[in-house]
Amino acid sequence: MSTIDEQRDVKLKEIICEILELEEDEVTETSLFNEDHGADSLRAIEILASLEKEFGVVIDQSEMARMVNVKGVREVVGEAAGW
Amino acid sequence: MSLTGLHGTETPNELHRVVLTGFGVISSIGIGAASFADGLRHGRSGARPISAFDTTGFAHAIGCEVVGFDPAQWVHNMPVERLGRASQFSTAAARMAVEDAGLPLDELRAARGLISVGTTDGESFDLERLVQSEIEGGSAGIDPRHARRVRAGRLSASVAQELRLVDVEAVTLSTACAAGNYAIGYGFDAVRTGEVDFALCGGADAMSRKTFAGFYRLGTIAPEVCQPFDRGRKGILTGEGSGMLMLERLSSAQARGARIYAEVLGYGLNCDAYHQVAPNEESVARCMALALENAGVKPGQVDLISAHGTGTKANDVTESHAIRRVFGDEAPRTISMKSMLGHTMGAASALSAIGCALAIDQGFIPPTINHVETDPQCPIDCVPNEAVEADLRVVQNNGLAFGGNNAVVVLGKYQPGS
Amino acid sequence: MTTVSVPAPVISAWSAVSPFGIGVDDFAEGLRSGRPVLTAPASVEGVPPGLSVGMVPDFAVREVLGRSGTRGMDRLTGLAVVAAGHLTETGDLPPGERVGVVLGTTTGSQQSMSDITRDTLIHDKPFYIETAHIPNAIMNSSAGQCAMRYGLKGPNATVAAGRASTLSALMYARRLLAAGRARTVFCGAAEELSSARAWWEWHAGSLTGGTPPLGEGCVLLRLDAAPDEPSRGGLARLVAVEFATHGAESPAQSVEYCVRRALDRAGIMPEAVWAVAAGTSAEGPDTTEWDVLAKIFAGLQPYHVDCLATVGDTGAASAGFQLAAVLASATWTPGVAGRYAAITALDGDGSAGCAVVQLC
Repeated sequence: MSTIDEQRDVKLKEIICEILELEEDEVTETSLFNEDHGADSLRAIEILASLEKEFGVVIDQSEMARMVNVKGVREVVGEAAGW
Repeated sequence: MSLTGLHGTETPNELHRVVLTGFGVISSIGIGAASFADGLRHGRSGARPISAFDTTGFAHAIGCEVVGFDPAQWVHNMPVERLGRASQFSTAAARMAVEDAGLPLDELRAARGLISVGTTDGESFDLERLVQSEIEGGSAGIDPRHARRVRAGRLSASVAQELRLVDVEAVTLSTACAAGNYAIGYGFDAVRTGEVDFALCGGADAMSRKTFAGFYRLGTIAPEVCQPFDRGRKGILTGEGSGMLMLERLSSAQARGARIYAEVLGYGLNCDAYHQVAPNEESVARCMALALENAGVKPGQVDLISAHGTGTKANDVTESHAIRRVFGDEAPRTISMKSMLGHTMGAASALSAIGCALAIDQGFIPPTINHVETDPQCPIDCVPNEAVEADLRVVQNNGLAFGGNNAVVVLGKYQPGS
Repeated sequence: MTTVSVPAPVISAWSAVSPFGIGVDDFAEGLRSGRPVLTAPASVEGVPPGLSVGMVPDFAVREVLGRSGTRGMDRLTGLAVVAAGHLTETGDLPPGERVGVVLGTTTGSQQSMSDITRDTLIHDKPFYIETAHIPNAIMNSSAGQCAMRYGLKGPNATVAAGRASTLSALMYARRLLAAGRARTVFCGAAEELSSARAWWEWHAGSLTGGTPPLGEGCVLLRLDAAPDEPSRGGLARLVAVEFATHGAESPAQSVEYCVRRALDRAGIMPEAVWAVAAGTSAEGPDTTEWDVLAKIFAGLQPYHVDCLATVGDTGAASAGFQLAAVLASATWTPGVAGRYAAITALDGDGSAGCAVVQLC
């Protein structure tokens, strides 16, 4: 993994944890925002919005169905950004 | 005959009946009560591409703007250029309501009044210009005229100043998207106790980039049409305008032989205390129950509900379920005027209250337009696409807002002696 | 004209977050000692040249309120939520369904509104805005958040009438109680000091004759429906609130009209008034209210409360600070029980008002 990738990853996780109001070790690759962390749909929109702004991308709202954990979010953002 | 003069028959400590005798309307489907009623009856849509602000960068930008509004037609005493767009709306609509009520201004000036104007965004239209001038010229470069215009209190104070009413309390109720109902309810309480002779109440908002961007960001702006209760609904369209209503005692309306559109039977207020933007079914149901109790009517007596009905996924499901909680399986027909007007924010429940009163007065139910297929999650009869004739005795008007601010107003057909 | 007579509601408690500090004790101590809190002109970053300000010291929202439920909360809401929290600790509260919140405001959080609008204009996409800040830019956010945090499910209203906003909030609350829509109402107003507000006031002031020192804070009164037994407790009774609206030409007449009618409504002569508190300062720039009070109370020399000179112009909250100062001063002034105080407000946009309270 290159340094840029690592920085991107760190930033992505940081944004997610900030919005979920959780420490980074509480959120794993596959822990679910809704079921495991109690995030409502507005938190999900907030995550999407923050990532769009941070990475300068536009994500279709329909992709929110996949953005249920860190892994899913990275995939969706990666596709939108062409990572 | 005077607003203040004729109360000889009343005994002290008696609550007055409160009636609606005049309307001012500025909306995307018509200016003035007659044109507005015609628009509602024919299911007119106010949707068109937004021109009030630069929409570059938004994937879609349809809204319900007011077109063909000339403030100078209604604003005679205030310098129009000193009024923000929302204050132009409220002031013009207020003068229209006074004229519609057939009340000479000198009589109004001799009476004691309340002016309450609801709003979501106040002068956000001017705020955008203020911020734009700051971006271009720094904080020192802000245009003082915009800074002077943006205060929310001006939406109501300007009405008093334009009509030269001195003996009034002018207050802006900034309770977001339920604000119109708040304003009517406040007028109802003040007139009912006899504390004031009249109340000029309603709501006003102008198209705002900030509001549009906020709803867009939340994924709640529909790309083309607003389809409340429809399976395929995609959200709101933002709108603008103003609705102002003249409230007075039944006795003063009768004494001066005024036309009575409808009676205000009561209202309810509560707060979800639950979430900043998501509505709460139980709390919305409780607000409806409070309103019916205050109005002294049973759920079975309600002939029509004018829903908040924004056309978002969340609102329409929550609101329909709340209605079923209160009304059971026999819920009255439930329409959304936002299908035609878009979401006019602080003006919304004021305009829909006027719509309800016009429906009572003229005997029809405005349709919910753009309707294709009712969402099974919203099990109500929304009177799709075509108005129907109906004799309406009691109509309930819902207003729900961010911050969990709920306000429900109940109107009735004026029936002498009831 | 038939008017339903309404028993005067009772001010049972109050709370204040002010440039003197957080809480009523700090406010009372600061007021009594005359400790100066206004900065030297132009010594604060982000504030226009020549303006002095009074800020609530050490007020960082997440430090004062903790991290839970405060992400995205702006300063204005923080001030209101802290003040509301103090009132929830005043005991004997009815169930949350019977407790309302009525909060006065000038234009909500000017900073939040400005920031979101700016975000829509300067980024690559106009919708690159902070989702968590969207509700902040709507004026009812603070009252709604007070309700959320403390489970206050009664009527929840936000009222705007410029510097008369606190008096409008008192009137609104009084009507809620009179109509039985709530048993207790937390009412008052909040105003934040921010770069946006300072610049807007400064520019607007350039058209109207100058900007006084700007303060900030929140004062909330706990207003309870009149008790069945009139003897039962409380700090003061709210006996009258009167309003008028003026054009550019007649602000003094409007203030006089409000004060005289409020005294009438209270059923008292000017002699019964112990204290008067105007929204503007006797030191200027606008002395209209004091001139009117001097005329009405000529020869009587009531106790003067001059909040603007003390904590700065707190905008929507100014009449709240005046009332708080009256209630605080009453605690160290002998012989005021049963006497009255008049609180006036005059707003450049047209509203004038006067409230009369009777001290218990």
